[in-house]
Amino acid sequence: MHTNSIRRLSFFLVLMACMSSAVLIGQQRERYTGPLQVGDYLGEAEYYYLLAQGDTILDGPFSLQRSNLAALLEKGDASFVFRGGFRSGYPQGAWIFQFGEFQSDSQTQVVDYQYTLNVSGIQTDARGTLQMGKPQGDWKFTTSEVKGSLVVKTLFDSEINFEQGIPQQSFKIADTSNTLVGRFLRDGVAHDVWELYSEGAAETTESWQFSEGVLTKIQGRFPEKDRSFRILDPSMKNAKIILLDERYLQILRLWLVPKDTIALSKSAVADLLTQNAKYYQKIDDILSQLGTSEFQPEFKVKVPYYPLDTLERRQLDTLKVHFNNAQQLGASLLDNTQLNILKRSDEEAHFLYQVVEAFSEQFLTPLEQLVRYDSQEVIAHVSRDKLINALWPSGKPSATIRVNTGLEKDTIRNYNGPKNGELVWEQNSFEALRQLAEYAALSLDAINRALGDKLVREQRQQEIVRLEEQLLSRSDSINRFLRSAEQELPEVYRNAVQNIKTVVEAQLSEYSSRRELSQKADFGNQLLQCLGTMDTLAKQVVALPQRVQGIEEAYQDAVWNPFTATIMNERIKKRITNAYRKVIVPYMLNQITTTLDCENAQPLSELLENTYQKMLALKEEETRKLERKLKKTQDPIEILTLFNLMDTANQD
Amino acid sequence: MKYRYHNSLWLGMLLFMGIVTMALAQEGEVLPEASEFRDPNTRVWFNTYGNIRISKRLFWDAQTHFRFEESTSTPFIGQVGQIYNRHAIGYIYSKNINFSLGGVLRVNFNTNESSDDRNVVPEWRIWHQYQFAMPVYTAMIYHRIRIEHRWSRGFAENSDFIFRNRWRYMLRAKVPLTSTKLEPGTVYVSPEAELIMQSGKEVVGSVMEDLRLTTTLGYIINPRLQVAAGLMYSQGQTLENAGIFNQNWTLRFHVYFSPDIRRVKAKLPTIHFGD
Repeated sequence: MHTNSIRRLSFFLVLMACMSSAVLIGQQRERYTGPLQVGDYLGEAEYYYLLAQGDTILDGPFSLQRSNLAALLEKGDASFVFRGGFRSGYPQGAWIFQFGEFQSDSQTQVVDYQYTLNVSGIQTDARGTLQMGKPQGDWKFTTSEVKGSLVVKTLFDSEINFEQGIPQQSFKIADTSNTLVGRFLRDGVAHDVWELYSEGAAETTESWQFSEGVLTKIQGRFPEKDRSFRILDPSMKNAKIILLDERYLQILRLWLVPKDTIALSKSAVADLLTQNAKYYQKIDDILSQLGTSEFQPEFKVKVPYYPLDTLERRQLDTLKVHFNNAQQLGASLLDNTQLNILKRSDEEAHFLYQVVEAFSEQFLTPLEQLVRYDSQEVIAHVSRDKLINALWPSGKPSATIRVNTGLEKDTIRNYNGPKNGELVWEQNSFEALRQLAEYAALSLDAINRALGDKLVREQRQQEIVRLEEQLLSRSDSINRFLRSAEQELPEVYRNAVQNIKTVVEAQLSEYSSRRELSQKADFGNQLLQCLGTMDTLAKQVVALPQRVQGIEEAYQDAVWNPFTATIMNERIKKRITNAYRKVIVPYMLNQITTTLDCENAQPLSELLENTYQKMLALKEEETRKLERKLKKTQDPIEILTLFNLMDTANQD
Repeated sequence: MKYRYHNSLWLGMLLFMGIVTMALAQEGEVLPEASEFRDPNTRVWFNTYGNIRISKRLFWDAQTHFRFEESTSTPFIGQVGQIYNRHAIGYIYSKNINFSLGGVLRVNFNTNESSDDRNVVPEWRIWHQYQFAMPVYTAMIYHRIRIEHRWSRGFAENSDFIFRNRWRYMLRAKVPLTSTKLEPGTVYVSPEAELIMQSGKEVVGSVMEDLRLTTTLGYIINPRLQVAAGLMYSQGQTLENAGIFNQNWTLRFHVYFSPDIRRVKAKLPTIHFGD
């Protein structure tokens, strides 16, 4: 009894142990080594992971690297090394990223049992600590120029201290000539003066004055003289904190209008901040592919906020539709080669073309900019007045387009589009802009339709002119050729040639009797092809006497005549040559003389050619049977059938 | 030694000729004071010449001649004189030179209207021929040497065959008239002269059997068929008396044909015998 219960207990314990170990095994990390692609980076990876409901969650040390010696020696290698760790899918712990673009001089040395090879190029090195995917503590980015495996120059250098992804205290960003130093409040909001020191300058060359995230003043040498701009008012009513990134710089540009946007584009501070943002973005792209990360230098700034209400949002969306229509119409008209030709001869077309140009310049280009601002999400941070002022610095365009159509003296002509007066855009509102865009779209559509009819007619007219030129030149060339050739032709041939000329003439006058443009074009195209065939046929007929002669000469064998002791040419396979010379050729000439038209010209031409080729071939072939059959017939159709040419003879 | 040998050869020949002359003088008919020319006979010959190619270099020479001569009432075509079958195998050495060897069966009809002898007697020959052609400008010239060994006999009952050799040389030209060379469709003129000498025991003095002077006009229908017609004058010593000459005027009509019975494949390459 006692032993029995002990036994039962021990069985229970063993079972428990087995189950818990199964759970442990389920949480066991797996190791992977092999190729891995992360974004654009394909290399050899080694990492550890957990499987949870079919997902691979990185956990533990991670490395991905690539370097190719052969490529390095050949033309240069792009190498990289990413090394760090994950915890439950989040990047965690010390990380290092290196990107190299190296060439080598291929000089090797052996040092301590290792081959060493000097490289030159550029290496970017980023290192720091991550906590739950966010930068923690010091992050340092360095881009160095390397020569002979030694760093000769630092091209870029950035040091920022983070606390859970939020930059702390002060930072430093430097490139070859400038160093930017700035400060943050505890929550990462930019504050105080950010100063730029340039190499060789005694004092700061540029400074951005922040007040709790609000950029109030930019001062600096842009680039030749000292200037300062007041940007934002810290006492703004409605404000929003955003990241200091490309979008923020775009907002600043809009605010600077019309003072000086160029100043900002030349700002070394903005440039350094942009460069820095790109470096961080590069790392974030990699980490985001592998797990969850927010690797951004979260420099925070404060900007005004003018949110769009639903109505405005809808107006802006409608505006985009109008803009896209107008944009397409405008582009297709301006790029239309036909119109570009037509406008030279047609006054109305010229005028409308200029109107399209005016619409493109005064309406479409600013609207395009507006659409771009919207996609950059900067519109809500600029006042409507400021925005519209930035788009149309010299005021919104008038609905009446004034165009100077005079080539020599001024002749002003006005264009008024549809719904002129109904659609107005005096106010600085999205509704006004929507109407402006609609007006542009309606006007361009009207112009397109007005020009469209003109263009189709013009196009057809030009086609006809081209076609007629081709028709005339082709019939000319046929006639010229035949005139010079027919003198030397025997009678039967001359008759055939004469008929080719007659048919060509008849077809041309048939063409000229057609009045309707579209009919003319269709018939003309067919006729052009027909004349091509007639041309071929004419040349074939003219060449035919020589070909017949050539066949006669080809069908000869040299024979030794014992009575003259000379070598004589003997005609061979006379039935075949006779059938050709006396039946087929006259038959075909007769066909050309009596039944030629555009339909049978091609088959006749082919038959002529095929028969000739057949004759050349038959000389070498065994033809006794054929000759026997030829004995019984003088009928051209039968003979052509015997020659296996009837499939192309196309007889009725 | 050599000199003496030559001398004796010459001596022998002279002796032989002396004997011949003596025999003529003693046994033959008496030579007339001056050569005597009989009145010309008129004759018509219809001759076919076949030249049948049997291999690259060999041909069969097949000739059949129908020879008529005048009768007392009809000139030229009065009666059949001979029917003449000449055959040989020829060898083409080159396009300009060929040789032949063969036999002849000639059927001789008795044309002596007053004779009571046999009407028909055969005559046998073995013959060989050597022909050389040469181009001269647009014409061709031919040399033909023909040697015949001939067994003939007279019409008289019980007459024996006599054996004679004939030595024939013919010089002939063919001159195209309507073209620059001999080719199909060409009319040509062909003058020829043939001297026929004979020898043999029975030939006493009459060594010039025949001298034939002919002119024909020919037409080449195609390389395998030609026709020709001409007139021949001939004269020669009679066998009986070397002083008496026969004369003949002969109309001659010729058909030349040369089929090629070889298979088509064997005809190629056509004719270039080695030139």
